[in-house]
Amino acid sequence: MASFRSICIIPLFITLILNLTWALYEDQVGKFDWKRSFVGKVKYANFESKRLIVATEENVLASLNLKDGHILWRQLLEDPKEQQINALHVDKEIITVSGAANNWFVRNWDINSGTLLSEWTLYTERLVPSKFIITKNTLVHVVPLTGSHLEVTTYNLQTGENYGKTIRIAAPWITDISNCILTTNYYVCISSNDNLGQLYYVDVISESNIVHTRPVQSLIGDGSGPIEIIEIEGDISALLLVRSKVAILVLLDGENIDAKPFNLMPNAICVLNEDRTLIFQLEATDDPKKLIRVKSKDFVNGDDELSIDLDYPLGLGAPIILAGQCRGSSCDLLLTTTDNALLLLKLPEGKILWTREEALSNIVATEFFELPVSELDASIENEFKTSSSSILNMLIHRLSTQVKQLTNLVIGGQLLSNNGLVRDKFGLHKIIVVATKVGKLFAIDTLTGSIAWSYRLPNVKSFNSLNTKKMLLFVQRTARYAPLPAQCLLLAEDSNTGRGVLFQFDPITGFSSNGIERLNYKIAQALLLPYEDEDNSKPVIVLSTSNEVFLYPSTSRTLVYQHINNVFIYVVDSVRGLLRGFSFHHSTERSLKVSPTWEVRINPSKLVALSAKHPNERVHSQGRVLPDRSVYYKYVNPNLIAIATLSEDSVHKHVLSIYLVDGVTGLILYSTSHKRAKGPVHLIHSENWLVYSYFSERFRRTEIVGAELYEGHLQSNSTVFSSHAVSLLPHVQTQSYILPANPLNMAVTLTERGITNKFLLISLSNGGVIEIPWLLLQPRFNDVPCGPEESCIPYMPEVPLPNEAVINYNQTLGRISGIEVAPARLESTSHVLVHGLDIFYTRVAPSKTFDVLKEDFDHLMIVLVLSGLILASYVTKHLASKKALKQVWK
Amino acid sequence: MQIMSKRIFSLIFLFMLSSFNVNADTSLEEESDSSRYVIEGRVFPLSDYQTSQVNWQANTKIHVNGGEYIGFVRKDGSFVVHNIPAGSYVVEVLNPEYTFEPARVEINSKGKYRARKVNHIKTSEVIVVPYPLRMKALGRTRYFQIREQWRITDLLFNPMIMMMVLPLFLIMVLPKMMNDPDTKKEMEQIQSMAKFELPEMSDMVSNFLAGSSQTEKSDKSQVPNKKNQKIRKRIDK
Repeated sequence: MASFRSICIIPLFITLILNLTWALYEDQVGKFDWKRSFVGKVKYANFESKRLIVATEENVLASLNLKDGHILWRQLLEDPKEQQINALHVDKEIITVSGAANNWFVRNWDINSGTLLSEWTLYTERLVPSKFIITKNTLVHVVPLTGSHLEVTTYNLQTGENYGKTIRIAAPWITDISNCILTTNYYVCISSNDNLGQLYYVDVISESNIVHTRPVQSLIGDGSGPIEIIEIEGDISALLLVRSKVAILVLLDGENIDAKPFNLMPNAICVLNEDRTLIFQLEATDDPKKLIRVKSKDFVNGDDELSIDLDYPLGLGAPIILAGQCRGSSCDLLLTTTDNALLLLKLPEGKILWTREEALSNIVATEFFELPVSELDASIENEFKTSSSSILNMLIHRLSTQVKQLTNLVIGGQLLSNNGLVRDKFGLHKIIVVATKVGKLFAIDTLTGSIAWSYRLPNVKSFNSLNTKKMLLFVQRTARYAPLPAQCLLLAEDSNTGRGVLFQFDPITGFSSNGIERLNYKIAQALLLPYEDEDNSKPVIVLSTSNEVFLYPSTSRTLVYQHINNVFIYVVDSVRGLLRGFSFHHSTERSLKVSPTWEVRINPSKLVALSAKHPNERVHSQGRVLPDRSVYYKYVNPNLIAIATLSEDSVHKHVLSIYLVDGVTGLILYSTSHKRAKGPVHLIHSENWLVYSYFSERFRRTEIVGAELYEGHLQSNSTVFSSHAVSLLPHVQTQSYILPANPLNMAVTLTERGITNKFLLISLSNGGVIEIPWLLLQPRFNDVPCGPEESCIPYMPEVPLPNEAVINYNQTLGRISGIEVAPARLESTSHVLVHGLDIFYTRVAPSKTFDVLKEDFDHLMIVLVLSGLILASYVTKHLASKKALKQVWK
Repeated sequence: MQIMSKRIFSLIFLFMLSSFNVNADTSLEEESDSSRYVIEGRVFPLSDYQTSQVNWQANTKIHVNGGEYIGFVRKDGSFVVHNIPAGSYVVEVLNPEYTFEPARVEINSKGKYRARKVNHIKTSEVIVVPYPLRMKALGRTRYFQIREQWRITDLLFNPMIMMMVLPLFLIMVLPKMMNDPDTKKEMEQIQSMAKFELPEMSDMVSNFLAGSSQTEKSDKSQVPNKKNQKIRKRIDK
């Protein structure tokens, strides 16, 4: 009976929910959304007729079109944080060896479609970095044990069958694995990095296993500086010995060892061209226009064959040759750069066919920017600003702008706009500035998804906060203040010293007047103040790890000092499990100082998630109207920090605790705990509510909890909220649900004025991003009847996830790492950028687009119908009078 | 019928093969690591797969516990997920175009398998499904709303239109169907009675402004007068 009832109820609510969610129509595909796919930093590459097969550091195997660099197919292997591809071999099929430490997957792929052909696993007990040799039918696993021996095991490539026993080759000469390489079937080591070192090599495939030695000095000659041994790309038994950036090619052939008598660059590769091997290398040139020169040399005598200066794009980092392919006189070289871009170089023309910005596969900071108004609009605005001296001047100005307006109207284009980056009516056209893990900044146009500009910051890395990589982007000034350019501030870490890096730039053009500024302290926390100085820019407070305060721009000190009693800052120390709050009460007008005010210790629990409210969020309605028409006021505290901690417990395994801490006073307003719960924990905090999800080990399912805070029937202060004034703890309503999926990230929509309903955006492990109305998760009041009148949906334990709510429809996104949301000027709409291995941009309208006409609104139809009706009424009037006349004549 | 039986036979044959594989694999695993197992099964495509997706195998992935372990689908639709310790796992088949029902696979420490339906609400309820898994597509995933199209039938079956059409039908068509002269006469009478003159707008306004009931009589006499005048004018022309 119960099941029958549920069957009846389910369709009813599905229809209800369908009305709540805003699904796309099929013809809207690609109208305002776009997707860019990436593969990550390329580790191994192989040319295969018209294709390129690449294996990347993101543990991705992909096939790229040689002509334009588009992805033909892409397969995502296991999580790159734990496992990596260690060997790639392309023959008739693709063979990859991927895994970690002692557990390897050997996979065999179809070259055309990327379908898996076979898969087997390889397990060893040795937990040392090992190497693989792939030949036609066998896989040779070489495990070097420092100071002892080499273990060589041979497997059948297709089935994983072990051929015979593991061979042990005594090798006490292995001193350091970084001094050893594998080239075709030789395992080569140098015993030390100086002139006294010996070169040892052994053929691991042949059964003789004789170790040959040769003094390094006899190969590379005398000289000072450490000697390095590196591999050379290409299917030959050779290696490079490098000393002070000059490399010597050494050929191995059984007993014979041959050091070539010419010098090479360390990034040289060998490419086989119709029985002849060529060496390609890149050199720097003095010419500022053509920075890079490609040289090819003959393999036998080292004669220069070809030397071409490249039109190398300026924004890219230093290149390295990854792979090459030659057919007759024309060659293709695949280059990768220090900023993870991938380029295909065509020789002998020396032309770069395509560039892939793979840095975008790792975004660590995002910010949306409004575009400046067009020149025409700006000139109209200027008319009122400039208090022109004479009336005549003003008249001329007015006339000229109106003529411009007229011509614009007649010609009907954005003629006067510069490169199309101009604000539109609804704020739908924006620029997204993203910072990537390698330290390259990109500006992306929201309409097309094209890159407007990019800027490379050398030697920069991201902060590590709670296991996620992050940089900080602050909007100091938007493009609203017309003559002044917009201003944005990026904070990152120096990759060598760990100190702060500051970069101030114009987000619209990418122009920076100051360049990169290396700071002499480490950054602990940074804060954008909501006050504007005389230049309309908002100051940023940066707190160093030694609790010193720095201000950018430093000229706004007096402004900050005026508001100093309202500024508070908190610092999270996830290593020591400490949350600390600071105030600026003791600062003077000359120097800003922080003084600790509160401290929350969470040890020995581990901090797993932290969430503060979005600084630009607005709350429109102050309360919830109950059925008796009384108002239940929301507890809207902008200073709240939500934290989640996990602690080990002998009885309950893991215990998840959630705390709401006031960031000003350190008061814990609410805390709760869940037993036998484990991560991943996701937190969202918005308005007066909190949503978090965790995995319940007891029921083996993901659960999601919504909690709402209310002040009660009386509002303590209706104008300004103050953390110091609160005397009563808020009332908390909670309700938990089952989420029948695995969430990866969560975000909440943000609109200009906060009138529109809120939607949660949850990215799932299946590559979809789903929108869930907050109404579905909102805790129901026990004493309030639930029905459509109260805009309340009866409680359902399982959150429905209809397919129509997937905002990226069938465009599966790989390894989603974040969802960024920004409001449009249109109240109903917010911008959404989902990033990970792919970048997906779309717009969502949680309450449907109530403030614009629907796009399928038919103006023509309305005009036609109306004019038709008017016409028909005249015709009928005429006919009626005719008929009346006839009647009278009868 | 013959084809059917053939297909069933081939299926059975495949299962035998796959079960054979299980044994081989587990024995291999036991040699190297006793605590690692494999989950295997087969994805059965819908019949329209071949037409819509050329290589659906490459676009289909197997996620165990939301991507903790992953598997790929081979050309024949079979899959094996390696290196799984004993425990309880949710196996999902992911394809952008089709929806599959997930299954929960439990492997105990002795290496025994049990597969059952995923039920998040009644977690202890067991509905056993066969192992090795047989994943069938539930249907094409519908991501889009269907746009309302303008159809003539929608318009005609609109209740308002029906209400208008039916009386119209009664008034216009029924009298013509009647051949009886008496009733015809009656009908004509009714029609002539029903035919009342619509008062002109200007008159209505003036009447309204006059606002008295006494004008009723003059009104009645006026209207034909006016009409007659008009007609006369036209005749004069």
